[in-house]
Amino acid sequence: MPVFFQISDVPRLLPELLLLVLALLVLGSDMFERWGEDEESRFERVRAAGSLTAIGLGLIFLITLLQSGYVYRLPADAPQNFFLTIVRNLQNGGPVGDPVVGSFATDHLTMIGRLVLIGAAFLVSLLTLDYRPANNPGEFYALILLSTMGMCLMAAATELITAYLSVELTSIPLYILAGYFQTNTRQSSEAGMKYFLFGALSSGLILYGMSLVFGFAVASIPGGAQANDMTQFLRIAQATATEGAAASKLLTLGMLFIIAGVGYKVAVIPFHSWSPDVYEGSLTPITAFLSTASKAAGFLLLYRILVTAFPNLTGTAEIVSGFGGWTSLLAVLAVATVVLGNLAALPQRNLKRLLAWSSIAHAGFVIMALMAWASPYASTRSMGTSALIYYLVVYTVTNIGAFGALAVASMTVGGDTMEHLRGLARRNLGLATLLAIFVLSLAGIPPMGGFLAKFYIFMAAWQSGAWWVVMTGVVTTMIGLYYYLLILKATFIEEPASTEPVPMPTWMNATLITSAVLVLLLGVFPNLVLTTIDQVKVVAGM
Amino acid sequence: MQLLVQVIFVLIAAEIVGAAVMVVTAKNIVHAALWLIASFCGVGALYLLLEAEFLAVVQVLVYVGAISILMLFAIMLTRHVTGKGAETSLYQRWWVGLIVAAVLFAAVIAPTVLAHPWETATAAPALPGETGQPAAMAGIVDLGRAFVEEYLLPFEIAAVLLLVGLVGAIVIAFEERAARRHIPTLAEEVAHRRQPE
Amino acid sequence: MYEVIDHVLNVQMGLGVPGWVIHLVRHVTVAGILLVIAPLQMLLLTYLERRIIARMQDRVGPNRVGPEGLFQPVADGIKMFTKEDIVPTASDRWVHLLAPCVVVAPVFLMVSVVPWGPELVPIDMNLGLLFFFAVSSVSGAGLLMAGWGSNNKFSLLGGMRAAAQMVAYEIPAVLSILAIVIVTGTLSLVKILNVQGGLFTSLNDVSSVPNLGLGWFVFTPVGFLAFLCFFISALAEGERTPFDIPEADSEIVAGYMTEYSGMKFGLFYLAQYVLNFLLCAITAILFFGGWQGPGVEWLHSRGVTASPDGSVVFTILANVLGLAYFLAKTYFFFFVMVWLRGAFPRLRIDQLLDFCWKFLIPLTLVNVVSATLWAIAIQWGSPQGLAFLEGMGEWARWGMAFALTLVINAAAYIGLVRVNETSGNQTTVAEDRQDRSMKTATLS
Repeated sequence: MPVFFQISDVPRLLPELLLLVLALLVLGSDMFERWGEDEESRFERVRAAGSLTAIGLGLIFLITLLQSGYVYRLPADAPQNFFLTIVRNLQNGGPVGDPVVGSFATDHLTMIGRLVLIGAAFLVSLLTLDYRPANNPGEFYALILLSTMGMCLMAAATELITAYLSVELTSIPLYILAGYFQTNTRQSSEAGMKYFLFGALSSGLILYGMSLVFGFAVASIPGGAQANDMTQFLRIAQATATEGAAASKLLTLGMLFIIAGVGYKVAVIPFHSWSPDVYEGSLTPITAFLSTASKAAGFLLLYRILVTAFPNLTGTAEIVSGFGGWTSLLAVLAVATVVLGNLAALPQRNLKRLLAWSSIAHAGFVIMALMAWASPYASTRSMGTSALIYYLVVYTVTNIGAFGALAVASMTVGGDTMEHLRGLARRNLGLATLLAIFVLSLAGIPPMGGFLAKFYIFMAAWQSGAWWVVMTGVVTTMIGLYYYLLILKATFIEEPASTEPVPMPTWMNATLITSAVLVLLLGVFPNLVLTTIDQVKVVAGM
Repeated sequence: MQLLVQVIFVLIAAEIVGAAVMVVTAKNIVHAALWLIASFCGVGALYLLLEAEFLAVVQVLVYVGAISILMLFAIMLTRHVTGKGAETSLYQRWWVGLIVAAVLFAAVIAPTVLAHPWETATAAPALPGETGQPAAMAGIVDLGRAFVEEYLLPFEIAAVLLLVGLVGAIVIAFEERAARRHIPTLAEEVAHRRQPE
Repeated sequence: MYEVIDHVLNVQMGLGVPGWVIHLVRHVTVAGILLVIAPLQMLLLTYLERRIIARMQDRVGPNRVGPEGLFQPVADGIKMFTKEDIVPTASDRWVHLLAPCVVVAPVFLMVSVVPWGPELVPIDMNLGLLFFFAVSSVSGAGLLMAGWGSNNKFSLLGGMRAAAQMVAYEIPAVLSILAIVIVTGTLSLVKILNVQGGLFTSLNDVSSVPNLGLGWFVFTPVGFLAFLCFFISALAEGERTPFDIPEADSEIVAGYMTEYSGMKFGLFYLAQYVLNFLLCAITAILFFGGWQGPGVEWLHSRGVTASPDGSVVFTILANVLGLAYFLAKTYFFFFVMVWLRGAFPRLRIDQLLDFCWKFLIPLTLVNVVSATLWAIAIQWGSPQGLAFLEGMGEWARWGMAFALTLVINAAAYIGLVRVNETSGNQTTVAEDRQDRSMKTATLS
C-alpha cells in the first residue's frame, strides 16, 4: 500500500525546510552585498552572511522548540486567533504520527535530535562570527546550514535510501568546510582531502551494506511481492523476524558493513584514523561542528538503524559464551575505542589533536550505551536509550565549548599547543575558567554534565551484563583524567610566557558562557532534560 | 537459454572485474580512466542482461558519456599524468593490503556467501514474443512513479545534495579575483621578454 | 520482417529453423544493410557539401571524376585506403589505435534506431530516443583518446575542445528533446512519429483533425523553440561551423585528427559525416514528422500491414514515399548546415560556452516548463483533479495550450535576448583583459 505525501506533512518537515530556505537565502544574499576586493567590504560580507545565519538558526531553533512542545504545549481549549492557530498548526507537526512517506519519522528522537543539532549549528555559527572565514562567506555559511539539514534528516531517517542520502548531504559540505582555512592552506587542504577520501570509502561501505540488507529483505518475502517499501527499517525488521532469517549470516554481513560505514563517520576505532589530522587541519569552529553535530547525528542514525531495523540481531554482551549480534560487535569496538583513544591522547601536545583523540574516546563511551540492548529487559534498554541521548546532549554542548575556548585561545594567543596555553589563567581568568569547566566535564568530574552522562552509561551497560566493558570504561576514564589535568596544569599552574592580558571576542564569549551554563545545568539538574529524553524509548517500540 | 545467460554473465563480469583491476593497477592515470570507462560499459551490459533497459542506457549516458569524460578532462588539465614517483610510496607494501583483504574475504565474506541458502530461479525466462518485440518493460513508468510516491523524500534530498555538490565545486574551484594568479596579457609577456636585453 | 524471413526460410525453402535463428538472420540482415547505407550517406554528403559550399563561394567544386564529379568521394575513399598509416613514435599506441573505433562505433549504433519509413524501422526500441543520445555521448571519450594518444599539443587542444563542447551542448540538446518527450509521453521514436500525423495539430492533441501527415511538432510553440535550440546544439555536437572549434584549421591544424592518416583519418571523417546525417535525421524526425507527409498515411492504410486484405504494392509505395519525405527533410537540414558554414565565421571557445550556459540552457528550461503546461492542458482531466478541462472541447484545449505556451516561450526568448544583449554591452576592461589573457594562454 503506497503512502503518498500529504500537504499536511509539510509542517512536520518544517525545520528542515526552513534550514534549506535559510541556506538559499544566505547563498543569495551574498550576491547583493558590496562586492569589493578590499579588506573592508570583504569583512562586511563575512559579517552579513554570518549574522544572517546565526539569527536564522536561532529562530529555527525556537520554532523547533515550539513545535516539539517540550517547553510549552498549547492547551486544547486555547482560543482561536491568528497567532494561536499558527502555533496549533505548528505543534500538530510535533512528535506524532507515522513516518512521512515511510521514510521520515517525526518522533521524539527526531525532535531531540533536531534540537541538539540545530542548537549545535547555532553555537558554531556564533563562534565563527568573530572569525574571518576564508573566501566566499555566503557559501561557507550555506554549507554549514545544508550540512545541518542533512544531520536532521539523519536523525529522522527511517528508510535506507533516505538514510544514505542524508549521510551524504551531511558529509559533502563537511568535506569542503574541512578544507576551508585561509591562512593554513596546506594543512587544511590535507584535512579536506583526507576527510573526503575516508568519507567516500565509508559511504561505499554503507551502500554496500544497505544493498545486501535490502536484497536479503526482498528475498525473504515469499513470492517476491511489491518490494518498493522494503527499504524501510520497520519492514526490514519484519522480514527478518522469522527464525531462519534472523540467523542468516548474510544479513549480519550487511549490518556489519553499515556499522563500519557509520563507524567511519563517528570515528570509532578502528575507523578513526582520519580524525586527528582532519580536526587539526580544519578551522577550529568547524572542528567543533565536526566533532559534535556530525558525530551526534551519526550516533542517532546508528541507534535508529540498529534498534528498528535489526532488533532481531541484538545478541549478548558475554564475550565468553554466545558471541554474536551487534551488541557483541559494539562491545569490542567500544573497548578498543576507549582504550586506544585515551592512550593515544596522552602524548599529544597539540590541543586540537588531543581533543580529537579524546572525542574518539568519547565515541567509545557512547557506543557503550547501546550495550543495553544485550539485555532482554525493556527497562534496561530504555535506560540505555536515555543514557545515549543524555550523553550526546552533554557531549555536544561540552565539546563545542572546549573547541570554542581553544579557538579563542589560538586566535588571541596565536596557537593551540600546550605551550600556548601556559599560564592562561594569569592573562584571562574568565577564559581559563570556562576552559576548565569544559575540560572537567569531558573528564567526567561532578558537578559537570559529563559526570552524570558517564554514570548513566556505565549503569545501563552494567545492567545489561557487559561488566567487562564497564570496567574498561572506568579504568580508561581515570587514564583520561591525566591528560585533561595536564591542560589545567598548563593553564593554571605554569608560568605564562608573557603577562599581557588576552582579549575576549564578544560573540565567542557569549557562546562559551552559554555552553558553560548548559553544562552546569545539565550536571546539576539532569531532570530538566531526562524526562523529555525518556520518551525516546517509543522509537524502539517500548 | 539459462546456460547462455550464465555464460554471458560470466563474460561480462570478467570484463568488469578485469577492467576494474586495471583501473587500480595502471600506472598511467589516463589509462586508468579509460579502463574505468570499459568497466562502466560492462556494468551497463550487466543491466541489459537483467532486462533493465532504462538503467543500462542511463548508465551509458551518465557514467560513460558524462562522468568519465569529465574525469578525463580533469586529468588532462593537470600535469604529471603518468604518475611517476608515486610508485615507490604507493606500491611498496601492497602485499600487506593483499593479505588483509584475503584474510577478510576468507574469514568473513566467503563463508557468509557460501552458507547462505540462495534461491535459484527455476523457470527459464520467457522468450521474446512472436512479433520479435519483448514485452514492454515497465522500467521508466514504474521508476517515475516510485520517485513521486514511495521515494519522494529521497528524491528531493538528492536534489539538495546536487545543489551542495555544485556549491562545493564552485567553492573549491573559484578563487576570488584578489587571490587569483595574474595571467599576463600578450603585450605584458612581450614586454617582459624584451626587458633583459 | 520476421514474417518475411519465416516465410522464406520455413515455407519456401522448407528448412524448419527455430525462432531464434530467424531473429538472428533478421538482425544480421538489418545490421548489414545499415552498415552499407551509412557510409554511402557519408560519400553523398561529402560530395554535396563540397559542391554546395563551392557554389556559395563562387567556385565550381569537384567536377572531374564521373558525371558532375559524382565519383569524387569514391576516389577519395580509395586514396584513403591506399595511404600509408603513420603512427607517431611518441604516441600512446593502443589509445591512438582505439580512438577512431571508439568514435565510429557509437555512430553506427545510433543509426540502428532511426526510422526511415512507416515500416523501415531497423529496431523499434522503447527507449530509442534516449538510446540515441546515450550512445552519442560515448564518442566524446573517443575524441579525448585521440587527442591524448597522439601526444601532440594541437591534438590535445582539439580533443579537449571537442569534449568540452560535446558535454556542454548535450545539456540543451537533451533538454529540448525532453520537451517533446513530455508532450508525447514516450521515448520511442516510432511512437513520436506516429502522432505527428494530422494537419497543423498533431494527432496527440486533436484527434478529429484530418490525417494528412502534417501535424509536425514544429508547428507548436514548444516544438518550435525546442527545434531551434536542438538544431543549434546539433551543430555544436556535430562540430559544424560556427562551432567547428575543435578542428579549427587556422588555429590548431586539424584538432584531434592531426596525427592520423590513411584509413584512421577516414574513420574520423566517416563518423563525423554520419553523425551529421543522423543529427539532421533526428531533427527531421522529432520536429518535422520524419516520414510523415501528405499521402503516406493514405497509402499505408491500404497496405498489407494495416489490414489483412490490403495490397503489398500500397505498403511498398507508402514506404517509398515516406522514405522520400524523410530523406528530403534530412538533406534539407544538411543543406542548412552547409549554408551556415558558408555564412558564419567561427566562434571562440568562451563565446561558445557563454552562449550555451547563458542562453540555450535557460531557454530550454523554460521550454520544459511550457511543455509541461502543454501536456497538462491537453492530457489531464478529472483523475488529476482538473475536471473542468474535460468540459472544454479538444480545439479549445489546444488553443489554450497554444496561446499559453506561445506567450511563455516568446517572453522567455525576448527576455533572454535582452539580458544577453545588455550584459554584452557592459563588457568591462577587466573582462576584456581576461579574454585576451585567455587567448594568450591558448597561444602559449
